[in-house]
Amino acid sequence: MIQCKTSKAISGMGHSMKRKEDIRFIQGKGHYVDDIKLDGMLYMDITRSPYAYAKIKNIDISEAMKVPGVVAVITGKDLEKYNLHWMPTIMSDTQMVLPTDTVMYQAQEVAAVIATSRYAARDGPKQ
Amino acid sequence: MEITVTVNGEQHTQDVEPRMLLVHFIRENLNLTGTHIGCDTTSCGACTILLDGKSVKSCTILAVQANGKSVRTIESVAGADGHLHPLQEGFKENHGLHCGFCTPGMIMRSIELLENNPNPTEEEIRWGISGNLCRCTGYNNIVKAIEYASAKNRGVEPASTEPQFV
Repeated sequence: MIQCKTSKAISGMGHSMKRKEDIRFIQGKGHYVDDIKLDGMLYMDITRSPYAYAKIKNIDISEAMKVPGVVAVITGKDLEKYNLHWMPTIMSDTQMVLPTDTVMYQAQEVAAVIATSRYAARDGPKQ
Repeated sequence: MEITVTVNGEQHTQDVEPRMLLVHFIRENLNLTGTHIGCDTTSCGACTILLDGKSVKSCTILAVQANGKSVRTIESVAGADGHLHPLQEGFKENHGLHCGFCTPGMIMRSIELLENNPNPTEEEIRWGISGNLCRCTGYNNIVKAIEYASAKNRGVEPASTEPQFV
């Protein structure tokens, strides 16, 4: 049986140290990212392509914009204006964010709907 | 649709869309963010709460289904003066959590588990929490935490939480 000669107060080595963060988590008082609420926060949902490989002729956002609560719909063309439609990744290459003229795989993100409630954001893609 | 739900002893009446999930109602409308959303597939159990005393995954219950019922979430488990429930103490003493995301769901599930079976065997505990997933701990310490709480509830001395050196 290993005996620890130094007292807990001095070194802590060999002694069981309880965690400090547990007390918040076991009461549900953690601040995980989804728990954070800031003023002016909006929700996003994504419209996906049903086709595996298709040319985008036009994306009509007028129906989605009519849904109450929808603030904006962002497509590849919008990102192209800011040169954000391709962005660098952590692996030092660039990756397509939203397609501008051709959809590359089924269920690829085509447009992002931004709205004031998560349910309004879900309605946008349905249009 | 207007619904009235008693959450942690307080009655709330609000107008919600029929499609609103109970977990969104609890987290966003009532600002009780202790209950977490961990998946989109009813698999993880991080959203577990007690609905009329039964543990349920609130991501798969519509808010309107809770109309007229009582809901208990993790925020109600500790005493008003900060006094910890035996389960919470068990998780704390036995290192039953790492990131803590699954823990509220585990605790709410264990409350019902121990109410129905005050002295469960290890196998009964493992089956009992099989609806709650944990990515961090490997479940062993969660089982120990529940055994600790079960012992405390029965007035028996729980197993030692000091590390056992060989």
